[in-house]
Amino acid sequence: MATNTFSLYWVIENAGKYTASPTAYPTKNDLDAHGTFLDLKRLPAEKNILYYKRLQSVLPLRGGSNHNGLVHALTRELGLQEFIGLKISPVPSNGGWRAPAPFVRITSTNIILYSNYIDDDHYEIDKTIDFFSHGSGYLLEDVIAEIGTSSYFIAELGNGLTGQEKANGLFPGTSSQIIYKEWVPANTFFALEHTDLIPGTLYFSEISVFSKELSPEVATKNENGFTFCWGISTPVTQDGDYFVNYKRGIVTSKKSSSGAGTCRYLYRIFPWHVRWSPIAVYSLRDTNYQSKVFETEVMLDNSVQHGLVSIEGSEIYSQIFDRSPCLWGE
Amino acid sequence: MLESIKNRRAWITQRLANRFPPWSRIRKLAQSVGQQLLEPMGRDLEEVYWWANYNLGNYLLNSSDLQQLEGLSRLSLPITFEWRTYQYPDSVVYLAPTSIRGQLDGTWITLNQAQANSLEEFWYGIPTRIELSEDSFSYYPVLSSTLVADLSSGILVSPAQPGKLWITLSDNGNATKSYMGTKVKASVTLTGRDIHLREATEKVYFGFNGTVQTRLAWSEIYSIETSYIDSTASLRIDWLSVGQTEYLDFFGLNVCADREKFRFWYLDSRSFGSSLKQLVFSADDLTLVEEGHDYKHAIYETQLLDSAGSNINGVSLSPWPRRKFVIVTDGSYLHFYVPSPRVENMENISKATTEAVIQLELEKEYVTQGDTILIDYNMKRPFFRVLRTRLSVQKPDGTRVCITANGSEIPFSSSGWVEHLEGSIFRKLGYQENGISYTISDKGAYTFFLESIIADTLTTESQSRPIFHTDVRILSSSYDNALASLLLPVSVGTVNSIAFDSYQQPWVINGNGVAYKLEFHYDLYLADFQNKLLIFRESYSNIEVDA
Repeated sequence: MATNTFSLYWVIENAGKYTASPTAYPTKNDLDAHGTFLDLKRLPAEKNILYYKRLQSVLPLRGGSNHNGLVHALTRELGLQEFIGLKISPVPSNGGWRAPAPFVRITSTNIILYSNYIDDDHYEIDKTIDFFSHGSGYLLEDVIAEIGTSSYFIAELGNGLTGQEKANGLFPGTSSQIIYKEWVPANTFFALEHTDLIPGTLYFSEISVFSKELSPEVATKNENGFTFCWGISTPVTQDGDYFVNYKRGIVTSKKSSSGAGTCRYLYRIFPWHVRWSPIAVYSLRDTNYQSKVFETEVMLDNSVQHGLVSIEGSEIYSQIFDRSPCLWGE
Repeated sequence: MLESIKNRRAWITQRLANRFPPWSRIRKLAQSVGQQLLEPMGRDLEEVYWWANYNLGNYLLNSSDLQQLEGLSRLSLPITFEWRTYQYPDSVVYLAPTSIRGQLDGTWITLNQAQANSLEEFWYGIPTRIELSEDSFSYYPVLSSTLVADLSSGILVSPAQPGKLWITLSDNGNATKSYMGTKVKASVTLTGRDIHLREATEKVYFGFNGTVQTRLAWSEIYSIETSYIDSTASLRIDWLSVGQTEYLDFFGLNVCADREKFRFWYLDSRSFGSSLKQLVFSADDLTLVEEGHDYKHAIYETQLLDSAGSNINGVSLSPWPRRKFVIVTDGSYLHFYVPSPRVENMENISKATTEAVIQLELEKEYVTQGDTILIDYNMKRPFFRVLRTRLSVQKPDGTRVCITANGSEIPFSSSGWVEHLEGSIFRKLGYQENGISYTISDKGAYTFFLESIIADTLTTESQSRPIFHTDVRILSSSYDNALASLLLPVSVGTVNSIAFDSYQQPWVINGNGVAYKLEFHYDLYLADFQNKLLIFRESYSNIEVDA
């Protein structure tokens, strides 16, 4: 305490030593303000960099009520990260692929490799890999090994993963994409935006310009049997004739499009980069999932009837009931 | 304002002075009375400009400062605790505590008070300790330097840490090419996957050879296309800012109006060690950078010293993003510098005669040790007789010597006077019509004095009525002590470069090509004397306070 406040000179007081533990004192900075705007709170003791990355992903990877939206939002809210899980590509052969029409479908429970896929009624399945498991994991490296046993497909692990991740975090999807509307340029020789188009799926809105598609045999050979060089000489001679190089997505036509026409098509994306998240989300309306968690019975008319909850399903539901007091049914 | 930049010359001062006519002293001379008057305002203006720019950056998520404080720890002292104080009859002044130590992983570390107990020093100051982060990678550029002609065979490596990339274009001849009557700019198109793993394409334009940062953050690059780039040019892509040789001013002053100058920094080596060079360019428009052709040609070069005052041999330089410092490494230390010239002591300027008839003309106002400058005389009013002159200099060590016409030094005494017979040596155009060359052998402020005895008539009677004039000029032989020289962790070895990633995190790359991420630590405290509260940036398990 002050001893001599009336002195003209200063006095040093010595109050001795004091030792104690400091307490954490969270502060807010400008990133938290952005978090308020984007409705994403900072996790406890989260570092700026990770929070910044999560904030940045809010708009590109939108949360929503469908499968992808839920996975994006849950992954982000929990401070986890999405990766490219698998890169699946067909085995190459003679400048093309060994499979005539390769197609891959990932559902919530399995990966189906098609060697020849025309449509949902006409196909040849090469291999089906059932990776669904709730308890002990079916890992990405197991899936890669399984795909490796196929003679038509190969798969590799995406960047940043070890292969020890559970495979049920793969996003469902297909290796083909639909383009619903693409503008056709006013030209007689043009490239579409994508390559590896699927034959039979390309339709043009201007029927008078694109009325008769020439087959590759006709289009690539002239009357003397010589092969044409694309872009220099074209075999399209009649109005309405057109030819498509499906591999390169290049269209040659006799008449020029008006520039206001559109087209739609399907194309393959290989190597297909399949997104993976540590979070797996299942819909109870998903038939693949239903067949895993219910006992199923095939009726006389080939319809599938679900019966009691299976052992795996009951485990899942008992865990859900443990955590949330919701009731099943009425 | 940070303590370390309180005595630094503001860049804006010259800009303000440039509003004056080219012949005026205020525009031509940094040590003119006018610029000395503008300097404090310029310094504050620069501070306001910097903070406006900083806050504007934080307003947008993508340009936010990611080194902002994310958490503090504090210690409330008991009510019985008393600080040391100066006691006056009418007031109390608190004294800084004798010692404060923090316990971190079992060892006690001495904590320093943030300079002047200032919040800005505490938040935006320089670190006191460097540690390694967990991340370390063998450093492979996304594309190592490749001739554009060989680009198809170039190998693309995914960045070890996804983020924005730096594209460096060199040897591309003319910046813009003519195509069908129009000028087009060189560009590079990247295709790959962005940080959110979506397919993406980005086109980056180059107005000149140099380094440009991408707008998107990338996790993988599939292909690169170039347009309007010579096949003899080279391209390199990095995920750290290591490809740059010159760094654009990060004070935010690079956005300037027509014909204003903006500056680049780079590290140079000299016989004494390393220097920090400041290149100044004039901008005709903001897309085309050309070497300045403005009246004033200013290049600063600063001799770099470590915090103890010894010369360093720097190997790599990097500006610290969103901070006011430049970091130089010499292999085993990181040195932190303020990249602005210091303001020398101008006291001797007052010894100059107002409107001296014979004035000194120095070639430059800022030089570096080892430079040779030309000294010239400028006769402001003709038709006066110059009877005698004496040129002398006070060196940084305080000694004063005379300088002869051939630039050599002789002792400062009455013998230093040079007699000018009528029409012999001294002509209207100046002393011998060419300058005296003088070599600067030391660092610090050189004060040049030109004493002259003139006569204000042409008659011989003037011998009995001489007028004594003195002109003074200060020449700064620039040098800079590091604000801190911090030892890098020993396990890193000798490093070749210091760089930052696009998340503003510091990295060093050692001789084996391994990139280590660094963590800056701040063993500082801020004292709230009134509320008996101590605030820390690091989380210590225990704090020992000794009042």
